[in-house]
Amino acid sequence: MARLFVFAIGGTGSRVIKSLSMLLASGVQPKSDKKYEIIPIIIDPHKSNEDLKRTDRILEYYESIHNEVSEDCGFFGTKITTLSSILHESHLTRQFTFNIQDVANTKFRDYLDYHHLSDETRKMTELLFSGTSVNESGIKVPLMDVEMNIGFVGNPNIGSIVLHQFVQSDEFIQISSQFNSEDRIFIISSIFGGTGAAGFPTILKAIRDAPNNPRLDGVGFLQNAKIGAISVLPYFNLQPSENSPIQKSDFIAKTKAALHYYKSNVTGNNELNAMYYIGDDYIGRALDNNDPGHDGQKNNAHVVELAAAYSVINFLEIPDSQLDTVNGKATNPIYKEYSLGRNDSIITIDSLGLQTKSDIGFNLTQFVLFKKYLFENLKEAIDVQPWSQGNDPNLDSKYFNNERMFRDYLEPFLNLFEEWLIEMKRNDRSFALFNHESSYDFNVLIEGRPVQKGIFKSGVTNNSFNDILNRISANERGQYSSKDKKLIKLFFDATKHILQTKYGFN
Amino acid sequence: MINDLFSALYEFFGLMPTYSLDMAYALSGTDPCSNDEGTNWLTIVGLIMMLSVVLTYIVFYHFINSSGFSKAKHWWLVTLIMVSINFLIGFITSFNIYSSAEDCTNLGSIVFVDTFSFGFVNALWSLLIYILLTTLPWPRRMSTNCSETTFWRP
Repeated sequence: MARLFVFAIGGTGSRVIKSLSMLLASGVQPKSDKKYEIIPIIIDPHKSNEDLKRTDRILEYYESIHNEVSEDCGFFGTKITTLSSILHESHLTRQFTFNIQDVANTKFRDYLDYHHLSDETRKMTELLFSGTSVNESGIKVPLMDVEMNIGFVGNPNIGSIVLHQFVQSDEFIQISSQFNSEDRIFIISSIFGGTGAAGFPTILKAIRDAPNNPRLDGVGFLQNAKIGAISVLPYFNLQPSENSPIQKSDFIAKTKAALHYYKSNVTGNNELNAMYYIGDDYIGRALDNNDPGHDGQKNNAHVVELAAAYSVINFLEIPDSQLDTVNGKATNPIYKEYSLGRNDSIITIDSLGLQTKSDIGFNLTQFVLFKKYLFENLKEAIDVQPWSQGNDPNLDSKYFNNERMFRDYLEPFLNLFEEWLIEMKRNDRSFALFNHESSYDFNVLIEGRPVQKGIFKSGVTNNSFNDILNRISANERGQYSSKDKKLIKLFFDATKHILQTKYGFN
Repeated sequence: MINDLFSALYEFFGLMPTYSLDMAYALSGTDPCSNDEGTNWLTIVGLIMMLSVVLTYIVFYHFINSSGFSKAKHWWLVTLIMVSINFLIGFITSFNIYSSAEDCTNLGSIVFVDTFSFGFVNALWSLLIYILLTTLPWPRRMSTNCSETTFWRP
C-alpha cells in the first residue's frame, strides 16, 4: 500500500490533523485507484500545547480502532499509523510527534551555544534575534532568552534555526529509507505564526535537497517525491492580550513577509507539486484565549481547519501523471484555493459547494448519526434488539461493557468528535451543519434540511433506526468476522441507508 | 384422525374437573338426546384455535415486525388478545350446547361452569401452542425485528 507522509507543523498543523482524523473516521476516502496509509508526523516544540495533546490522543484512538476493523468497514477505513510502526526495526518511539531535541527548558541563547560563539558571530546573532517575547509564565524576556518548550511564540526566525535539526534527525533518515516511488508527502503549516511558517520551507528543502544529505538512503525517490502542501493564512480571531507576543494585528504583516519568501523559495522555484492556500478574512468574535504558555493553545476547532484537512484528501485524488517531478522540480505545479458555496457566517449544508457536499458532507453526516445513536439510543437497544443479541456475533452488554475497542477507544474518540463538532459550531464563523445535540431528534439532524414526514412517510426514529440495523444485521448474519467489525460495518451500512432513504442524499 | 387428535387434545387434562362428560360428548358431535352424530365442535374449535395461533405468529413476527414492539411485554400483550379470543370461541361454542341442553333431559349433567371450563381449556391450549411455536428458534429467526422475542425475553 502506498503511503502518505503528512508533516503537520505547529498548532495549526495539529488542529488540521485532528480534522483529517475526523474525516477519515467518518469514512471519507480519496477517489483514487490507490489506497494510502497515512503517517502523520507532528512537528511542534510546544509539547504541552493542548491542541497537540488532543490530536495525539485522537490519533492513538483512531489507530487502535482501525487495527481492530478492516479497511472495508467504512468508518475508520483508512489506516493511520506512526512512523516507527512501518519500520521493521526501529529505535524510534512509537508516537505521532517528531522529537525536537534540546528544546525542553532550553533558552534559544543556549541552543545556539551563544557563549562559545566568536564575537563577530555573537553580534550578528544579536542583530538577527533582537526584540522581546515572553516566557512560559507570560513574563517579557529578550528573544534570545525564550524558552522553547512553549514553541517559537510567533517567531519564525527562531523556528527556522531550531527546526533545521530535522535534516539530520533519525526520523528523516528513516523516512528516506522507507520512501517509495508510490508514496507522497503533504506538509501542513500556518503562515502567520512561528513554527509552521519556519518549518514548512525547512522540511521542503530537506526533502528536495536529499541527494546532498550524506546521512540519507533512497534519496532518489525522496528528491522526486510528489509533494503537496497547504499554507493556512490567518483565519481566526484571538482575544487581545497585552502580555502575549502573539497579536492578531501582526498576522497579516507576518503572512505577507512569509508569502514574499515563499514566492522565491517555495512556489517560485517549483519545489512543490501542489500548493493549497486557505484563509478567512471574516472577522468573527474572538473566542480563543491568547495563551501561548505552558498548557495553553487550546483553540476551538474551526471550519478552515476542516477545509485544510479536505485538501489532503484532494491531493491524493490528483493522478500521478499530474505530479511529475524531475530533479526535485515539479514539471506541472498545481495551485489551489478553497471556497464555500455561499459566504455565510453560519455555515449550513447549503453553504457548502456541491463538491464538498459530495466528498465529505455525506460521510460526516453518517458519522454524526452513528455518534448520536450510540450516545442516545444504544442503552435501550443492547440485549433487546436482534442486531445486538441474536445475529452472530452478538454485540451484547458484555461486549459494550468489556471490549476494549468500544470502551477504551471508540467511545473516547466519539467524545472528542462531539467536542470537535461543538467547537466548530461555537466558533465564529460557525460550522453549524448538524443539530447533533441530544435535545434534537434525528429528523432535524441536518440544519435547514428536516426529514420530510407525512401520512405514509415516517421520519427517522429510534425504532426505524433499529429496524434498519436489524434488517442489515439479519441479511449479513455470519458475514462479520468479529464483533468490532460488525459494530463498525453495520452502522456504516445502516447510516448510509438512512441518509439515502430518509434525508434525500443520493 | 383429526377428530381423534383434537379429542385427545381437549381431554388431555381429564374431563373432571375441567368440564363434564356430557359436555365432552356434545362437543365431539354425539348428541346425547338422540345419540345422532352431529357436528364435531372439538375439531372446528381446535382448527380455529390453531389458525389463530399461526395468524398471531404471522402478524406479530412478520407483519408488525417492529423493533419498537418486540419486547416480552409486547409478546404477552399480543398473546393475551389471542388467548382471550380463543377463550371466547370456546366459551360461545360450549354455551350454545349448554343452552340447547335445557331442552334435553339427557344432558342434565351439563352446567354453566362447563362453558367457562371449555373456554379456559381452549385458551390454555392456544397459549401453550403459541409458546411452543415462538420458543423454537425456527421460524422465529426469519423475523428481522422480533427474532429474539419470546415469552421470557427481551
